[in-house]
Amino acid sequence: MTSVVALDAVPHIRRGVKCTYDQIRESHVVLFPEGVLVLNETAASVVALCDGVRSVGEIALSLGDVYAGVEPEDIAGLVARLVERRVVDVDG
Amino acid sequence: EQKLPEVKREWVKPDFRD
Repeated sequence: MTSVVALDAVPHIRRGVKCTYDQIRESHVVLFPEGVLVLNETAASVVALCDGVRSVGEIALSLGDVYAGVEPEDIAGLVARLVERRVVDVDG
Repeated sequence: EQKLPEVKREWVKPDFRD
């Protein structure tokens, strides 16, 4: 079951996790000890902003400059799934 | 000065393959 992440939670990438762009497959990937995640474009944008400073709500606001119709709940849901995969931790 | 309207990309639900 996916846990719930609040909009004021502050996500950050865990140690040992690397976010990169796979030139061959032309996709954003997250490399971590247990596996590989292949992100779509918006997920990559969210992960890039998981800096341990911005909250989920602030990430949504930032992405609002680039994307139309950003849903903060989508971001919270993604972060919750990344926490489950032990790619991201949240404070708060 | 005329600013072109900003074209924002359409939000797609963020997802990943595992």
